[in-house]
Amino acid sequence: MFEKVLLKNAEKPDAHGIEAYEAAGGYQALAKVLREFSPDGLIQLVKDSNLKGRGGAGFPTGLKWGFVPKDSDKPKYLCCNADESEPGTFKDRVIMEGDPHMMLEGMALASYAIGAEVAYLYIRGEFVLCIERLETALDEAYRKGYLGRDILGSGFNLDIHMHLGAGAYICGEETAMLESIEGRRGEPKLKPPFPAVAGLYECPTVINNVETLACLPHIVNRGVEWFRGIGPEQSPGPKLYCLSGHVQKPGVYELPMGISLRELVDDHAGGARPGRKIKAVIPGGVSAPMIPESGLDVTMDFESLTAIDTMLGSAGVIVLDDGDCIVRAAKNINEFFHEESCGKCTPCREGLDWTGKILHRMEAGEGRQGDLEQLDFLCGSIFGNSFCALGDGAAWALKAAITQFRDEFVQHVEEGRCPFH
Amino acid sequence: MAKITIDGNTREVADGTLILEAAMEQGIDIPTFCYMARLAPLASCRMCLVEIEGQGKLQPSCATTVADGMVVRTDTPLVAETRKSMLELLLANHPLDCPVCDKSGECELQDQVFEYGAGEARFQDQKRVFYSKDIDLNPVIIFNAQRCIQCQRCVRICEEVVGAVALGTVEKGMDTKVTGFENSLAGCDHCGNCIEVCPVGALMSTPYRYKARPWDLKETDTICPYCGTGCHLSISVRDGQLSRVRSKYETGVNGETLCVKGRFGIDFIDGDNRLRTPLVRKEGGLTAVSWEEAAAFIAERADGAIEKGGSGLGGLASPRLNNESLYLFQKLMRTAFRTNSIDSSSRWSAAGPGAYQSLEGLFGGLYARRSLHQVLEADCILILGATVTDETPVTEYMVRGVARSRGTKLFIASARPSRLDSEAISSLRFVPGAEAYLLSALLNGIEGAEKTFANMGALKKSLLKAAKTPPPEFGEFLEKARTAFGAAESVTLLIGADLLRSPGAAAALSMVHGLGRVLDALGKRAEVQFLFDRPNQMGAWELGVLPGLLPGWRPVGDAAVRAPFEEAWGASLPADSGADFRRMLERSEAGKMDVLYVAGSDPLLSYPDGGLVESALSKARLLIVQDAFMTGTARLADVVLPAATFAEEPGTFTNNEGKVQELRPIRRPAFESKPNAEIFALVAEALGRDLGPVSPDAVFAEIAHLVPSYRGLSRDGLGDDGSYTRPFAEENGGDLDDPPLAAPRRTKGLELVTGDSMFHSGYLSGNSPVLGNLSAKAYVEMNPDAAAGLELADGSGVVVRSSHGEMKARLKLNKRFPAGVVFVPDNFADARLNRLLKHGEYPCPVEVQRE
Amino acid sequence: MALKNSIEEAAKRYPNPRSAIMPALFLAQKEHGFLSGDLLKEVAGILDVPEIWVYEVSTFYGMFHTEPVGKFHIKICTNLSCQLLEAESMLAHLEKKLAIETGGTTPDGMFTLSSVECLGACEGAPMMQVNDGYYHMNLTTARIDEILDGLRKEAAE
Ligand SMILES: Cc1cc2nc3c(=O)[nH]c(=O)nc-3n(C[C@H](O)[C@H](O)[C@H](O)COP(=O)(O)O)c2cc1C
Ligand code: SF4
Ligand code: FES
Repeated sequence: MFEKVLLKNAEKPDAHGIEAYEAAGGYQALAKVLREFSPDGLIQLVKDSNLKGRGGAGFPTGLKWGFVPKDSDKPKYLCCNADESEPGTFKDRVIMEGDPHMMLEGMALASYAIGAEVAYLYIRGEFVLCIERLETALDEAYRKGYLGRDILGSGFNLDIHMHLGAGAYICGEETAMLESIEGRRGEPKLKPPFPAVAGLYECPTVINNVETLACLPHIVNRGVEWFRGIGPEQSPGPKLYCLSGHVQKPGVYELPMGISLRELVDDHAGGARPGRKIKAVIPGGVSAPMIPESGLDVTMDFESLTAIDTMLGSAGVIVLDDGDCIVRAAKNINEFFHEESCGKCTPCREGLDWTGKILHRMEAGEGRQGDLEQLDFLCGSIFGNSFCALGDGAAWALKAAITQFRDEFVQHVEEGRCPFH
Repeated sequence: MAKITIDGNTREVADGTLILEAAMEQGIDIPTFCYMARLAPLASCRMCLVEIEGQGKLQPSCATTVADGMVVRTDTPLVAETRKSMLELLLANHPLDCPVCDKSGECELQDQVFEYGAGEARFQDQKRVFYSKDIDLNPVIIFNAQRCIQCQRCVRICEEVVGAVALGTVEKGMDTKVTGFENSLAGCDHCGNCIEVCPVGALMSTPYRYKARPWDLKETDTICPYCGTGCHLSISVRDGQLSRVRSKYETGVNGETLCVKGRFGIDFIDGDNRLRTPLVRKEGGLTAVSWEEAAAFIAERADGAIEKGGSGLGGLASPRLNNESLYLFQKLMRTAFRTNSIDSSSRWSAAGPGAYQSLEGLFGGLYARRSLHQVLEADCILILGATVTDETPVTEYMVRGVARSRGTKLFIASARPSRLDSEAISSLRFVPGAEAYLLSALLNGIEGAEKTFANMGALKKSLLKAAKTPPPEFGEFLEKARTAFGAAESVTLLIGADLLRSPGAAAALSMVHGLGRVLDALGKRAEVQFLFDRPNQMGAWELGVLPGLLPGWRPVGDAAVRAPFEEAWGASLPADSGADFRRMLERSEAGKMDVLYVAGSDPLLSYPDGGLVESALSKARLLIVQDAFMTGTARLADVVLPAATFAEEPGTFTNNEGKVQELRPIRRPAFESKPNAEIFALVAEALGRDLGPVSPDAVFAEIAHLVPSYRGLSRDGLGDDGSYTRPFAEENGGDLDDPPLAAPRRTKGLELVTGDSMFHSGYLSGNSPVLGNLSAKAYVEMNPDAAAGLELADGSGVVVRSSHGEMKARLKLNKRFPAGVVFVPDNFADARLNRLLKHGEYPCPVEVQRE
Repeated sequence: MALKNSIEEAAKRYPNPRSAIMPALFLAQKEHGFLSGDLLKEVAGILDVPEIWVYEVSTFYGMFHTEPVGKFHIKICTNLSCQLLEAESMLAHLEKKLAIETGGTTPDGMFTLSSVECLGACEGAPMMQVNDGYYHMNLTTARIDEILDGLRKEAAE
């Protein structure tokens, strides 16, 4: 039986205070690392664990840390990405509300590894409860000497500052986030240089997701073998899955990486509503292409999902059933990306406006001959050509909907109405 | 070096080259919108995407640097298809109102659609509309948001190059638009560089609006008449009327940028204050006459005075005139009027003639006669006595550029703050007069410098005298500058007009010399350039528009020096040392001035002791004023000769880089005015002298023959980008004298300084309708705390009073302003600032009170 | 003065003042309800940064308001997970109850209604947030009525 670690504390009522966290073994990993590990030793440990980033791209965390130049005399920064805004995703919120210290401890560990003395916690401003809990948690951690000067007598210093996002999904993209912390519009920046070399204030910077950071204390405490023993070889570890849409029991589930999507939806989340059949599932937030019901046996890990032309992304699983209109869902998703496009690059800004107008008409029963071909053209023009992954994701997701459910689109145009509404 | 293959051609290019640049070098065209060579890459328009072998996605060539062994393709169907689709996307929301768009015919979007676009438009839905009407962002910039393609060139040039940070990007996604704070650019520089870089008709010039179609324009390349940066201008004329001023990227020091004066201020040529005909004073009033009458009038009135000789005659010419005119002016004064009393700047009264002596040595050797771009490549730059942002704006853009891109260590020591301060390692505010002190204190603390002092002749004394531990307000600046100078291999000193205004000018110039020598002895490369705010100050001086010096800085008292000139000019020359303008005024006031000839200058507006100037000029027996405009000085004249503007006569300017650049007329002189050279010839002829051939070629040839720094140059050979004059001294030889070191002045009261503002310099700008509209009145700038101490509020009317006189203006608070200094821009005729100023004194102690 | 102090306090967390623009705007908005042009200028003045920088930021981010909003700003999520669970009928219900269209404010200045992008609580769809309050999840029309009544009562007190 899989034993929860990330949600173990969080699911208990009122476990967000430092006493509860300490009682559950909290901050022991930090103490151990400061006592026994060099920064490089910690990087090696995380490399060995094969932890892959939980923010969406699945980039190996230890490898990312290793890119930070050792000889640079500039300050180094850690940024925690708590901007969680991808529709269908709410796992980071659950960690921060339920067990904020676990993430803070992870931040302290990551900061130690890369040599950062200042870390910014970029959290979306709407997460009011998280922000309150984190403010308290930060106070507590400072008070107990887990943050601040000379942490636990080790000589290691760390300040964590919260920076509140103000309602822009694009700021979850790491370079846009850095721009936002620097007080600019959240527009993605050119890479290279990569943040690890020249990020925040042109200094070496590592950006990690909340859940990624939350894994760290457990890796330190329980060891690499334990971590690698969970889930598949290439992407091991415990994983939080967010289930929403038309399932019986929506919520966050902690399960091993590599669980089958069908098992996740049917056994854990209670399957489709009574009398309904699942039509399609979005596996990783709305930028991840949807999978028709027939594909649900895929396993939930970075590699398997990539192999079938979609992605694990943020593990935001959204379930659509046979009562749901794909055109309407596609339009809804497109509207989100259209609204949240930063406007910097031509394909995303103009392309999503155009797709939006077509989808809007189609759904309203005013589709025209040629609209579908235009959508094909537009997906092709945006995908691969946009500046950042937002545009790519939007086009990729739309393209998948059109490819897999082309009939529904054709039907909308031919019948001049939505067959579902 | 990296070996890169583009479309099958393999070449070696320097590391760090962008693929786009490498392709351009090979003659391969890649379309771009957001790319601009002098801006940081943005890679947002996605027009320039190319295939790189081994990369899954197309990559922006404008932002990807070459790597060894890289294989790039720009000619594949995928690349072509992508370009086509990016254009289709850009056109989807574009209004396509080309028939009524100012940009039509020179629009980059139009051109690229023609070149790379699809033949048809698929987009059928409602287009985005931001506003139903275009927005006036300010009196010169108007914006059509619909046409904008979001390349952000405007926003970036405003921030990265101009440094104004006035334009920005607001809203997000589809709603994104560029604009100023609350849709206004009322407080910006109005330089219009944003208009220049806009690839489409989104940002437009209001004065040019609906004036012409580009294909109806006749464009002439020439040089800006405002400051010594010497920016290249392309002036467009339609049916003899000025339409617009732009600049070309490929030509000139300015690389397409201009300041507000250059872009919008050239309309002075059509100002309503232009002189139409010659005028002669008859029965008290100035009356229009023919050229013949005017010449006869001069001949008649000057007759006799010339025979009396030198000290009753004198001439003043403006450093805004071209080289040929200036040269002919001094030739006329020396040969026809037979006087050496000649001067070329009316603003530097306090500096005194001693300053000119120090200049000679400076221009002989140390002065860097090469491109500002090269001079700015130094490790360290010190700007002394200049408010570059206001006085020489395009030079300022270049300094900002090196400070940001090369990390050049910049130091600024000036009376006024400017936004260039934010690029500097350290900025020092000090009251003019202490420049020599400052430089010696700086030298004194550079590691190892003291050892070299022994070889500095008399200067050694003052170098050693300088404070090692300077006053506290100099402390941090000096400490940082000493360290940086000590570590630098090359140092550039840029000197502004302020340094020449104070009585300490001569001492400061000696110390500049000392700096050059000491740094040289330390094995560093030291270079000096002036940042003149007048276009041809260097020409004026080098061509002998100076009292005691013949062209080429040669002392007129020496018979051997005079001989070649006498031979060339066919006349014997007076040998006395002549009078500077100050002494000419004094003589005139004493009733001893028979003829005073003022060409292109308005001392009534700019020379200290305004009261004295007025009375002295009125007392001259014959005051000849030659000008394009009816200036205050002209109103006092007995004869007024209408002259061409810079845009109506051929000639050359020598800019701050020591570069001779060609001025090309855009039309014939307005009304009955004549080119300055022709007027001088006419006057000479009336006096029975022949000035020789006055065609620009002939005069230039004569200059090249007689003036060492112009030797070897020819007008034909100047080329599009001009040619450099050359230093004429063998080495930085000569003795260094021991100048008096005035310690920084400290007073409890306020000190008045003056100078150019962003919108005005000299009376040319005052005659520009657009500039006059943008900045109509003088103002008094000071620090808010200092103002609060005097119970003065921002915008309130104040009186500025000196021991000499007073003026009224509105107060403008600036929190970066030093507490003890107030600034009033000169050049506002109504304000009569010069009535407050006193000869021999600068800055001027004043009180400021509520009106 | 209080605003100035708290902004300067916030600015200490960053190596340069520009970074403090967002926290400063949050503070200013909290104090004044929305970000007027004068307020933006004041913020720029306190941080000593160009005004346009502050303007840019204030218009990019959805949580900043450059126009007045009602005393209660109701933000209902209409993204996919919520839409699947009837967010649109909840929105319609709100429009009817408040007698305003989405994006509008009631004439008494009490309520502003906005549809917003995903607030990261899809397990509780449909959901909404009022001002900077805790999330209201698993909305039904009855639950919405209750919430509105509560807000009206709060305002009356
Ligand atoms: C449009 C866009 C939005 C993103 N949003 C988030 C987000 O909300 N949270 C997050 O952790 N990562 C997000 N990412 C991924 C980040 O860019 C980055 O890869 C991640 O934070 C790295 O953390 P990790 O290595 O721990 O996964 C987003 C990426 C894109 C392109
Ligand atoms: S893809 Fe979209 S979000 Fe990303 S840079 Fe381009 S416009 Fe901005
Ligand atoms: S020119 Fe390269 S992306 Fe615009």
